[in-house]
Formats: sequence, structure tokens, C-alpha cells
Amino acid sequence: MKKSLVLALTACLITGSLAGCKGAGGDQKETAEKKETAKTETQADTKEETGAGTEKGGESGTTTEAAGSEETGAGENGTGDVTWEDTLTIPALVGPLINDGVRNQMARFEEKYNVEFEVEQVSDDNFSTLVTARAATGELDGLVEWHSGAAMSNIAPTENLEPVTGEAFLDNLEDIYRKSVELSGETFGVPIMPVYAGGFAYNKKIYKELNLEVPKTWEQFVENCRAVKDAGYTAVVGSFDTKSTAQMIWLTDFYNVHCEYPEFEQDYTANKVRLKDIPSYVDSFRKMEDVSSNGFYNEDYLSTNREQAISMLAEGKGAHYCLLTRELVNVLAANYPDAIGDIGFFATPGNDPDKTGITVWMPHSWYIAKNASEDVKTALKLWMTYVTSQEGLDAYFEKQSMAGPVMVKGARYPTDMYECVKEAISYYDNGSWYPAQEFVTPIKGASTPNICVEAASGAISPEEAVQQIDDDNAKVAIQLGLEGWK
Amino acid sequence: MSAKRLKGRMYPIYFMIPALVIYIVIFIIPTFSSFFYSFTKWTLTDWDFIGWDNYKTFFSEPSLRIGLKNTLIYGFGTSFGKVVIALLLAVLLTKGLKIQGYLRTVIFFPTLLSALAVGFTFKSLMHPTTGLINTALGALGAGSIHWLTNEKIALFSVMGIDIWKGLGVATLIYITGIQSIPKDYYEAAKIDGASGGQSFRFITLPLIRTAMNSVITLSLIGGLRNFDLVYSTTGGGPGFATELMTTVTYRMFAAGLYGLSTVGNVVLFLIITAIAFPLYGYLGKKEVEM
Repeated sequence: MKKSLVLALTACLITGSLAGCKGAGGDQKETAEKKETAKTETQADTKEETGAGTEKGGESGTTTEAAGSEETGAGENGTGDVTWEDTLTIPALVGPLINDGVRNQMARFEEKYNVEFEVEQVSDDNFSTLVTARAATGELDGLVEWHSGAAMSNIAPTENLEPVTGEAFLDNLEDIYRKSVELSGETFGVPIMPVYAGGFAYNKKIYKELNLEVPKTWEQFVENCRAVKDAGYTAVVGSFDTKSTAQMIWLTDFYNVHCEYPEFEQDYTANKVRLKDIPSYVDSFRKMEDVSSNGFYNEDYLSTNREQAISMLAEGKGAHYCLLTRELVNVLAANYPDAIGDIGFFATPGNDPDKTGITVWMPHSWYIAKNASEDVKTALKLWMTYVTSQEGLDAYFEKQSMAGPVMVKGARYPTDMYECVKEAISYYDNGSWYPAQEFVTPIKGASTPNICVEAASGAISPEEAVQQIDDDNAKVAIQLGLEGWK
Repeated sequence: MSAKRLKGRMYPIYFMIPALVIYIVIFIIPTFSSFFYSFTKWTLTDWDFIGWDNYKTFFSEPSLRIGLKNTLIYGFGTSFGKVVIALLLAVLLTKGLKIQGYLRTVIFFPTLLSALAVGFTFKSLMHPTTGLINTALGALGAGSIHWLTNEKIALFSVMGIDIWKGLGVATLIYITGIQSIPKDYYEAAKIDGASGGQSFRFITLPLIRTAMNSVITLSLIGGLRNFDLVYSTTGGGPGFATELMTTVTYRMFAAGLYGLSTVGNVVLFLIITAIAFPLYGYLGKKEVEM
């Protein structure tokens, strides 16, 4: 009896698992089906998610819309102090970077204009996929956080976003930022946060102990590293397990590329120059090779992630770590409040000691979805005015420590900031800074983190790495339909 | 039963309409449209016919050639591992050991876990300095092995995880296969003086052919289209060392290169079809009646 039961049950199980494979190649079909619909599945999933989240927002939006535009005429004038009689609900899609400063701004704004943000916050891993998938299906709604620069085009701004070209608040913004949110002659966004500087953070305790000075050239940097290594510390912390940080030495070196080749972005975007023909560009990868071939990295640098790397720097196990000031403030200061005072910052060194400068990352931007109701659009333009005003900035810095310069002209910001941030900002104040490559040209390939890992692990030479980056970028340029690429 | 009565009892043909509609909408249409879109440069709202350009780019991509090679190594390697190891386990687990029930549960357990959970767990177990595996090896005096970040062994590490995870189902299929063999055959063989090895070779092996074919086909197709385990352990790295067709395709799609990623899907579909169809036909012919 028991035996027959076992047999029957296992038979059930097996027929179940074989169901897909029996018959005329049923499983192949199933496979293909899964492959072919993989994309639609992701989209469908996100659609379902949004369905629950934003439909509600949409509905309450329309009811208040009537109230709003009829009773106060908010839809028409667009500027000035408008409030909604019934609370206006604004859907907002945000990523993991949204911090206390932004939340404070939202709270103040809600109070001021009688609106309510219905915030949907997405975790780091899902953010890019979710927003691009939603953009691809035309599902973006309300306020959207997304990248500036090259990645902006991933959500097809001309189809999904409301242009804000010519709005008064744009006049407050630095031109260099505005360029990073422009596409086809239209401007789309305003900065969410300050910009971040990219360069090396270093542990001042180790520097003091070994009597080292902040390096002004790459050679000096290598010497410093050697001294640190000889003293038994990890000279450079590598975190190649986290995709974005795997690329840091190359990306933060762009200021040096810019100094030697100021026309880079025009020439490269128009396909007039190959990367391998730009010596300073190859140098960026040579620097990466230098660090690994000299054994400066921690032993497990390919398996280390960003959080582990930051803890190594903070605990004084590692001397240098290439990162953005955003990580210093958001991760290091938050988790190691006692250690942040021991951390300093210098720009990724080049060849000329008189020309050191930081590469800066434009902040993510706020965008308005084209799908938003007229009332929400009006409110969001007010929001954009607010976040680019001194009032909005004050609200931000009330809750958030300074991590970099602000892209609002003539903005006043707190002087009270971490020492390392102060050191980073000093480059900015001297005018020694330039945006990272992805903010001046729309071309950024798909495999760059993998190529960086290969370069940093010595699997390929710097020349080969640059060649691969070139080929990788070309595919994106062609997909974007840029002139001069075919 | 007369032919007329039988005919009356048959289900009408329109009963298959619901299934057919679903099949056409979510399989036939996407498949054939993806063949078409692989020849275009497309976005959700627009497309441009560009002929074979996508295929040219795709096959000139170095990471893709690695991906293609790795996909085949991965598919056949994991399938072979599962077919052999699971068979040995199944034989062992039908011997009537006292802790047989317990062992079967233990071996089946990994199947219940999601591939992502397994991936992340092994990623930390295989960490070169802090992982449990290297700590244990270190205690035995072995040096640290970069399981997932040494480009030469990373793919095999992931394959090992895959085999561990897939053994449960394969063993279970074999066990049912073995248990459905009537005991009389073994008794008869014993009387004729057959050794244990001979019974296995001449009775068990031919009679579990059906089960084995299922294991081969299932594990091969599963291996060829693996994505989640590689993605959660190495992400295709270090560099491109563990890149599979699926991870390349995903990366292209995430970067907005829709045309190229469609090519990836089409190529993978063709490969799996080209391998699985003939294989299944071939294996089917070898089955014997019990």
C-alpha cells in the first residue's frame, strides 16, 4: 500500500516535470517561448506593479484636476503661488539615492501647495530595469527620477518626458548641467542633488604614519602606493564586484583626458576620432593596469563590493579608494561617523602636476512624465522651480550634509561640511573640474564594467581594453542613430 | 463500442480554440516577429530594416563568441554531470539503506530553492578570503582559490553549483525509473548467476532508458538556457569569462540595443532547437519496451 502510494506520487511528479518535454519537442517550444517573451514578461510585470500603484494616483489626480483647474485656474497661469483646494496627488517614481534632504524638500513642498507625493521607491538592483521597462511601455507617470547625461536617452525622453524648455527656472542652472539634460533641442530636467566629485579618497592616518604627501602626478601616486604596500596596508582598495565602482579609475580620469584633448566630446560624438588614438585615453587604462600589475589591490579585489571596500578604507586597512563623494557622505559618513574625519580626497592624478582636477558626476534629475495630467504637470513645474530655488536648497541642506557643488547659479550652501568634501570642492572652486564623459557625450557602451574588470585583472592590455570600449560604444552610437556612425 | 458511438463521444474540434489562441498569441506571434525584428534596429515605437547588420555585429562581438562557446560547455557539461552522478545516487538510494528516506530528502532539497538564492549563497561561500569553502580548505593547508573570479575556473565553479542544484530532480526521475523495474528480472538474473554489475549493466541500464532520456533532455535544455545562476554568481565575469548567450542578450537589452538582443534570442532558439530536436528523436529510438 505504502509502496504503491509512493509510486503514484512520484509518477505524478515526474509526469509534471516531463509535461514540458514530452511530445513533439514541447520543451524546445517552451524554451523559445520563454526567451521570446522574456522582454514582454518584464514589461508585463512592471505593468502589473504600476497598475496597482499609479492607477490610484491617476484617479485621484483626475478628480482633483477638475477641482484644481476650475476653481483656482491653476492649469493656466503655471507660476506664482498656487495651491490646490483638494489635495493633488502626484505619483513619484524614485530610486535608492533619494535621501533625507529630498524627503524634507518634498514635505515642505507638499505643505506649501497642498499636494501629496505618492512615492514609489525602487531598490538599487531594480531601478534601471524598472524605469526603462516602464518607459518602453509608455507607463511613466508624474514625477520621475532618472539619470542625466548619456543614460537619459535610455528612457526615450522625446516620447516619454515633458520638455521644460524655456521655463524660467532653467535660467538658474549652470549651462554645463543643462547640456546634460538636453536632447534634440529640448531640455527635460532639473538636478535632484548636488553634483559629486570623483577621485581618490585616502586614509589620512596612514598618510601621516608613513609621512606621505597628496600626490600631484600619477608617478607620485604609484610611489605612495608602493610605500603603503611596503608598510603592510592595502594600497588601493578595488571593488570590482560592484559594477559601477569597477569603472572608477577610468571614469574619474576624464578630467585629464579633457585637459589634453578639449575637443574630445565634439570629435568623438561625431565619430571623427578613435579612442585608441587618444594617448591620454589609453593612459586611463594604463593606470588601472599599473595598480593591478604592481599588486596594489587587495587580494580579493574582484570579489569585493562597494560596502566592503568602504569599510576597508574607514577601518584603515586600505589607504586609497577611487569613488564619488556621494559614497563618502551616504555610506562612509553614515556607517563610520568616527572615521569620516580621517578621510581625505584628491583628484585622480594625471601627468602634469599643475593640472590636477576632479571629474564630476551630474546628479540624477527630476523629469515630468508626458502622461501626467495637466494639473500634475503644472504642480511639477512649481516643484522644479522650488528645488532650484534657494528655499528648496535650504530645505535640502537642512537634513543632508553637503556632498558636492550645487548646479544652481549663485546658490548659498552650508559651509559646515566634512573635510574630505571640502577638499573635493576646493578643486571646483578653482575651476579645475569637468563633467564625466557620459555627461558630455551620449555614447556609453553596454559592457564597460566587464571590460574594466578584464583590464584591471590583467587579462587584456590597456590598448585592447580601449579597442573593446570603442567597439562597444559604436553599437550604442548606431542604435542612437548619431550622425557619422554607421 | 461502435464507430458511430465513438464519434459521438469525441470532443469537438473547437475545444482546442482557447489553447490554440494562447499558443498563437504568446508563442507563434512573438517567435516569428522576433525573427523579423532581428533584422531591424528597433525601439518600442519605431523600426528600421537593416538586413544582416545585427547578425554581423553580433558575431563580431568577442564576448559573444565566448558566450556561444560557454553556453555549449555549460549545457553539455552540466547535463553530463547530472546524468552520471544522479544515476549513481539513484542506484545507491534504491538499495534499501536505513537512512535512504532521509538521504533522498537531502538530495532533493536544493531543487526547492530558487536559483538566485543558491547563487547568492554560493557567492559568499566561494568568496576567496572570507568564504566558508576557502576557510575550510585553508584549515587543511590548501591555498586560497578564486572560485568565481579566476577566469580559468569560474565557469566550472558555476557548473558545479548547477549540478549540485539539479541533482535532486534527476535522481528522483531515476529512482522512479529503477523502482518501476519488476523485481522478477533481478531474481531471474540472480538465479542465472549474474553479478551485481551485470544486473546493473543488462537490466537496470536498458530499462531506465526512458528516465535517462528525460534527464538528458531536461538538463541539457536547462543548461543551454541558464541565466539566473550565472547572473547571481559572476554576472558573466570576471570580464567576459562566464558570459553565456543569455547574459550577453540581457546586457544588450538592458543597454537599449533591442535589435542585437533579439538576434541573441533568435540564435539561442535556433541552437537549442538544432540540438534538442535531433537528440530527442535519437534518444527516443533507443528506448526499449519493458
